[in-house]
Amino acid sequence: MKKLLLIVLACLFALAPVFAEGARDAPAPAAAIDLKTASWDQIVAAAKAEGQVTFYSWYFPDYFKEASMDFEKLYGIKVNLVIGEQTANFNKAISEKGNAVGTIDAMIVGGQWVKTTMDLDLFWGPVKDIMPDADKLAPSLWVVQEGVMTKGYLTPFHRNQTGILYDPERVSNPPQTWEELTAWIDANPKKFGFNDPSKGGSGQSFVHTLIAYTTGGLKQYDGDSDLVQSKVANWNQAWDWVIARKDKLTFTVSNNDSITRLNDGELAMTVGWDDNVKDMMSKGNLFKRAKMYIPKMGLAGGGDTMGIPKNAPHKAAALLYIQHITSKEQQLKKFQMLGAYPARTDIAIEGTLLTEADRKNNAIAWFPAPYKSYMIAEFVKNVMMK
Amino acid sequence: MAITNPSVATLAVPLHVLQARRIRRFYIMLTVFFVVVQLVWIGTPILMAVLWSLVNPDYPWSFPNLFPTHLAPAPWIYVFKYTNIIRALKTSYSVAPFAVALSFLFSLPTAYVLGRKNIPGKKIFNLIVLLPIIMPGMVVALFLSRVFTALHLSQTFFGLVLAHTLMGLPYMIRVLTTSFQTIPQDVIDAAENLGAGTFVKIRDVFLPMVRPGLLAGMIFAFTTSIEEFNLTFVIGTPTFETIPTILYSFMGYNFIRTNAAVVALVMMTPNIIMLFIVERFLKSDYLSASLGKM
Amino acid sequence: MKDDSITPIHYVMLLPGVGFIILFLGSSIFLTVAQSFGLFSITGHSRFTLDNWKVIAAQESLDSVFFSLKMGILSSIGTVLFTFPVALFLRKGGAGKGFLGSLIKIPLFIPALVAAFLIVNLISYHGIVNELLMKLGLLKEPLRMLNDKFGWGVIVIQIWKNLPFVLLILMASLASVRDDTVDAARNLGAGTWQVLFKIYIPLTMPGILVSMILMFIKAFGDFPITSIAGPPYPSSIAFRMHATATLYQEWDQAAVLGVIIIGSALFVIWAYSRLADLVKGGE
Repeated sequence: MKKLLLIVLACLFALAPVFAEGARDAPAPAAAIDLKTASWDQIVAAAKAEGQVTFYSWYFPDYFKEASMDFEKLYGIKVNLVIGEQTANFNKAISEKGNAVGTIDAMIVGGQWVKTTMDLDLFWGPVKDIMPDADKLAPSLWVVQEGVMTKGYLTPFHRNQTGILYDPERVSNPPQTWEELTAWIDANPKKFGFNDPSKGGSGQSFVHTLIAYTTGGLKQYDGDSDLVQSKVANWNQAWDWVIARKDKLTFTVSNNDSITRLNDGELAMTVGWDDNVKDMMSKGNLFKRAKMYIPKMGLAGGGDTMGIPKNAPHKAAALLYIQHITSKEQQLKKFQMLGAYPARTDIAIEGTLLTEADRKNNAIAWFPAPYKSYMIAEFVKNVMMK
Repeated sequence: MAITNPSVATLAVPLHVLQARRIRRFYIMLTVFFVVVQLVWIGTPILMAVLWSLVNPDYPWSFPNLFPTHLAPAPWIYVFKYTNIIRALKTSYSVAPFAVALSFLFSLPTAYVLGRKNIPGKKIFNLIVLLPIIMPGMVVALFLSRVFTALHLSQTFFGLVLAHTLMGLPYMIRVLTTSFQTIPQDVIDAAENLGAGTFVKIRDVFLPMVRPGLLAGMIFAFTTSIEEFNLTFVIGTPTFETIPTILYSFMGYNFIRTNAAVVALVMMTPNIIMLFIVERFLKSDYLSASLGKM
Repeated sequence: MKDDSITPIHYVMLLPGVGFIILFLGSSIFLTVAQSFGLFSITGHSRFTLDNWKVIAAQESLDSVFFSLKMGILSSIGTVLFTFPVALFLRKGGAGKGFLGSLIKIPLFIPALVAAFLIVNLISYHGIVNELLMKLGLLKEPLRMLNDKFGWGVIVIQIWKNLPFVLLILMASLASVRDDTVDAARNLGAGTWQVLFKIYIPLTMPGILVSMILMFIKAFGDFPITSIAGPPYPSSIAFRMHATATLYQEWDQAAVLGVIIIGSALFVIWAYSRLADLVKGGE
């Protein structure tokens, strides 16, 4: 018996050199053309010469798989699609930052990682002037994302919006103003929940609106590139609002956890991202009767973009892939498959979770990123700890 | 307490046999009780996962339904269509055996020294050996990955195997060390007195006596390899996708319970089958060891 | 019991294990420590400073460290306490014990993330546990068991997941306790408790120690289970380190927390070893 074990082990080990090399591709050819000044046709040709592109996302595996197959059919360029995890994707990009050649050609950028990666100067660009149809993509998202100035380095491909999500069987008069919401929470203890801002964007959005209503509006922060201490001196009023209602509020642990608890009946109302909600509904994780809206008091929205790391080996192919995802056909397809709001402004869509009127009138922009980071840290310190 | 009434003594069962039967029955009932407890303790979560994996997208499962109203294989179809789960399974299960084998080979000499010799600095070595699992995941992902890249081990199968070996070593070494510690010296002395050379000592004395610990270590090294994510994601993708890659994409930030349930079940099934196989090896070892037959 | 002659070959024998680890981890540990002092910073602005160390004084950091320590210590002690009797029970073969043994070991092969998700599912507000207790009339309103303030959810999941892990180690340890030893003690008149405390525990102490150490490390440094099932506040020290770097963009302070993680873990392990020595010494 032990003899057999030893022999098996020895054989296994002897096979290792067979796998030692692995599927490593030939090193990327140095870009023959200057992508920043070349014509789009030249870029397409260069992309075909590169032959492959590696793209990292952390959501929409179904859409991206279909989009990648379409891309391969159109251009004959192989797509290595990796659906990873938000933190893991960025850890990888950051750990490869110092390498001459990385392994990621293009990746989705969103959430607090926008600030992190822009601060670390991770991306190549600007790409705004290279992208055809750049003007047809959500103009505000080219400039500012999550309160961070992105200077045209990141291409918008997706827009999303936070809203109040509720169960119409248990909420008859969805609150529109801050006072109405406060009254509802006081009358229905523990039935409203949101996640602590350090755990997800929907919670960040709610606290963002909280600060708007308790500290004198968001206009005062416009244009600040650094935190101005005097402007946040009265933020304790926001924290006091939460602390006063701490046992009437439920804190969840992530964007999806809020939605799950609504589905589970623990909550009757919560804050969520429209794309998350649509996704979970279509996959049987949330009851279909759930309704969503942006209250008159406003909730923040934004979107996600795509960036090309500085050491991407196949930059032309990356540009072409990004253009492909942001093309009219693909944006329409994304919407039809997932109900996810396109970044393109020139296609007509119907059947969104949130009405166009809501989006136009009630969606608000984030305040600058330094305030956002400060808000998250202060919430933990002043509310969660107490 | 013997039965003193002679007329009954010839018909009744001797007391010690009765007592033995009672004890055996008690143990059997205890076993049955534990089995039931285990079936509930482990079976219920798994049953829930099975139900979630079969939720029909058109009929979401929400309160107040205790069970989903309509079942459909849709989540399974989705996972198999839109993820590379088969490829990930193949990769995970080809890396793991190599990682276990390497762990075993690297640990054996070290565990022997740490278990049986009073080498100076032993306490420090015992701590160093634990470092791979003490290191925070972020440090592993950001810094350890760079070492692999510098050694040109990124995006290679061998690199993945080495990475998984590294993460499994702490378990293997510490458990083997403990096993080596408990080998009675007289057995080794006897072997030496009989003129056994080093190889014979290893094969016929050490290996059999550490077998329970060795098997435990191998199981840990195996499961560590199957579950390893942080390092694997950075140096393995996009060339290699492993099961945790797919698992985390459905369970992390973007948590969709129906798909997560499918991935969880797909991951668990080969493991559980293997478990029952391995259990056959383990059972015979414990029995013979405890009866002093080794 | 130990042969004390040490030859150079013994140092060579340490190379594949200890050497391999130092080779790969050395630079990571060096970088973490260096970054905690502001050198080799990821952000590119490196300068030697002690400022980053102030982050330890922050209440959130202290709370996270103590919370993770609490989780580590309670999980390791709890699991060993639960598992030891099971190991003793399974030690002797018997009807159905093989099947029971396999059943118990299933969680070992279920990844931590999956384990957390499975159990959280059960204890959710309208999950099966609550519904059953309500149907039995023991509850009028569902219990809010998710993300409890103390961290019992995390501990339960850790015990569920790791019981087989500790069981394997303890059974391997118990296998080395010869029946003749136990029989001899019994013949000398030792009662059950004495056999337990004077024979089983001291002889299996290396196994107990190893399983407590390994379990402590897992529970102390855990990220996924605590993110899913842990209290809203405080977060695990691993999460805090991650948030410090990626949410607040304070990479060097995160390095400090990394050093704290490594240091505290090493300290507790050392403490466990001393404790084990004391118990053994007292016999």
